Amino acid sequence: MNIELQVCSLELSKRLKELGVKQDSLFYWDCNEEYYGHSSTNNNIITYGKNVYIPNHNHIFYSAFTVAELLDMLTPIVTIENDTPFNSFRLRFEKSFHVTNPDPENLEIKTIYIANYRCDSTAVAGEDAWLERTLTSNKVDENPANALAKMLIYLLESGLIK
Amino acid sequence: MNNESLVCSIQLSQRLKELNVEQESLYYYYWFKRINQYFVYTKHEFYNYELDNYDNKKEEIPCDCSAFTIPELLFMLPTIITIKENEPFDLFTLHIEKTFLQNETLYIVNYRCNLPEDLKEDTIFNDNPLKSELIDDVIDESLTNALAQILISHLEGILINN
Repeated sequence: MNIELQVCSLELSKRLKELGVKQDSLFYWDCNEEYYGHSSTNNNIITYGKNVYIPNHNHIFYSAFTVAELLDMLTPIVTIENDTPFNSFRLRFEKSFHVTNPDPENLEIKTIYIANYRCDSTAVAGEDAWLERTLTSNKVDENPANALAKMLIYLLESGLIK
Repeated sequence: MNNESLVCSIQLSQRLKELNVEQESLYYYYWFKRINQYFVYTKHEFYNYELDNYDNKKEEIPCDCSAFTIPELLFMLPTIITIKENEPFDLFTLHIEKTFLQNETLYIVNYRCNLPEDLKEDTIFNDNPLKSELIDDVIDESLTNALAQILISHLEGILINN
């Protein structure tokens, strides 16, 4: 499995850094536009620690968080101020699928990962009875680290965690 | 976060090897006989370690087995498990919840029916309700270990035979 599939994307890593997430991780995106330049479409590499393979050039590092590191940062429970008792949400992470070819004889699915917080209380009567409430829209990606990174970005942008 | 916290335990890793899981991973367990201890390294890290300790090297340090990470285990676990009864409630996908007990973070992992509970009319009142989970929840402080346990159950045929 490529290391790219074990860590969150550069785009999400940059956003997490902008949001003030501590840049302390096992892997880093090493962005060195000066060296890798415009001739390469793959301008960035992932390094183990802040190893500088190409010295004497400006390196910008972004933490490339793993699934374990992102799960560590995601709080197990989020509580919002309104809608008591439907204001407490628990982290759920799913390996799921979406159908890419619905033809029954050639059915094709694609594996996806879904992160969300689900309400731990359910109404027993009324139009919402038994429906599962979620904190936000599902954060979905084919890379599990990206799905979790999107969830963490949502929590930080919403001020639900600091 | 250190290497050991990213991978499943040596016992579970050895069981996965016994079950013929391909030993292809980012990290591996290395057995340091002199101090009677396992360490987790990437192949690259281990190569550097060997170079640094070349002069003092008095022992062969064998690689015991793959030390799988969360994405690697997620990749190996089936996206869908279908049982041969109770259609349409016969389709199960992997669900992970992060929770806590007395300030200790726990992960709960299981294959759950992917149709909502509220569609199962008889769920509450039937003496023999439809199955919501494939097996008893796997609960562990380490998500990596919980996923490894589920994968072992799958490879041993426990998930489908239950």
